[in-house]
Amino acid sequence: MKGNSFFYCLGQGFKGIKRNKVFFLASVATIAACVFMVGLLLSIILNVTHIIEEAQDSVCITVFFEEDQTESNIQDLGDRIKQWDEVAYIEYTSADEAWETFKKEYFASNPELAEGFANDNPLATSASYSIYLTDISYQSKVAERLDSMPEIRQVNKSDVTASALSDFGKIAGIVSLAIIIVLLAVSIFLISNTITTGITVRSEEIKIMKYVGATDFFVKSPFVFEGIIIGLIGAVIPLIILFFIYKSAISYVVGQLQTFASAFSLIPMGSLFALLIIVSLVLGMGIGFVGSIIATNKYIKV
Amino acid sequence: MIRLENVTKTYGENKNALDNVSLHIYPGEFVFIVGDSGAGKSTLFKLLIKELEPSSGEIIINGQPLVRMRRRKIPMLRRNIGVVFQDFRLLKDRNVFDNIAFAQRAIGISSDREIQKNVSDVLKLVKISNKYKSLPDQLSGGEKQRVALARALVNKPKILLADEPTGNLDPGNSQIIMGILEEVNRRGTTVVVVTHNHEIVRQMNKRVINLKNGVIVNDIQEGGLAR
Repeated sequence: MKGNSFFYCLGQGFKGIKRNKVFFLASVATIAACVFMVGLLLSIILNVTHIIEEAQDSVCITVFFEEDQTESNIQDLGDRIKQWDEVAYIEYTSADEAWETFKKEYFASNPELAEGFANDNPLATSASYSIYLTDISYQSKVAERLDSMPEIRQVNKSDVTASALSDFGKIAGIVSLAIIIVLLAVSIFLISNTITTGITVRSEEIKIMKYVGATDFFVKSPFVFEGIIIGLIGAVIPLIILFFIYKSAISYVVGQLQTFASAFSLIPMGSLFALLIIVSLVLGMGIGFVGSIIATNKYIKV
Repeated sequence: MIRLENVTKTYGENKNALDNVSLHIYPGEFVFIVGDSGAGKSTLFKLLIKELEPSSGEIIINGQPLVRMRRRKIPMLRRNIGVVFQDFRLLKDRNVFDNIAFAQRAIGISSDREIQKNVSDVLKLVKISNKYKSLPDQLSGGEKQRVALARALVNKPKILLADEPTGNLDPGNSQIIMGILEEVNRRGTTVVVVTHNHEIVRQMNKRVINLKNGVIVNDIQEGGLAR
């Protein structure tokens, strides 16, 4: 396509929008609704996944050592555990550190009560390793292995938390995927109908173009440009709405749910929207492009 | 220029719209195709612009066989055939100039200056230059048909096909349209007019091909009606 013809077709795309305002508004609304739903769902899924991952990261197995274990034994044990594929990293808490933490938590308002234990750490046998796993589903297997080690006196784990988080993550993923597929199918059906209705009105124009010897490419171009423009606008509107909704959600979580905010956090605005912008634009413009091609094909065989 | 060899077009079961039709139209001829409703005129018209495929037979236009012609070659074929319809088929949201310029854009002419010159020339030919800014709804039937003619002629086709071009016009406007078609023919374009307006056919005294039930019943050469 020559430069002039390109701009002519682009111009015709804009003129087409101007001439068919009702069709334009209906198409933009349909695409915007579809992109909004997908964007909203995607934001929810990504955040749920993010929260689960954060929760999984914070779940660990705590092991306490037999009383006869020396510091070098404990160090050696830690080095061996670190080598396991299922282990992401481990943290050592000495008996003194454990006592300090305990004091801060339970004797903060009555520090004089803790002074009675000044020279006698009641948690002397409470040095421990906190073992964080690469995947929470390994917890039972790793705990079993740790339990069989002679240096270890006690293994603390939370089976319920581990399996619940793991299962919830899987279910959330499957349900979200199913909803997105249904949503896309419904949207494509609605959009192809809307675009077909719009193009039916202009079937005469397409016929005349064909009678005077226009190529299929030339006939389709203005409609395709129009579809892409509609898709672009239909993607930008829900992005703006989602931006403000998400901004409010973050403020709400930080402001109103302070208790929970320390337990989980939402994905930062920048990271989420870097993905949402790409997904929305590709989805909106893709639907506009494919929809216009499908709809023009119905009338181009003159 | 236009050759049909044993062309048959069947719709549905055993309903022959055209039955074994053969005809030859030479370059520079002016030909009327006449017949009652259902005679096969419209089918013949659609076959010539390759809107329909014949059930059997061969159609050759400007040396190109239309049967089994590749889809991508159809635009080139149509650029050499101007088409005019009874109902004008103008784009109502564009003025006269844009309705005609649109045909130039459609064949890939991108120079505004060239388009302006070609449209201006063809508007003079159909004698409607003063209405170039008018919208179709602001024109009379005769004027609309002149704009449709201008659109068909602006790409300088070798053949002009007109389907009942005076069907919606009064006798005065019909005369004007026929006068323009005659002028176009004088300038070298082959003109084929499908009509059932016997008065016009008689007055023009050109070659007349008479169709009845999908068959050519007679083919009267130019001047034959006067004898």
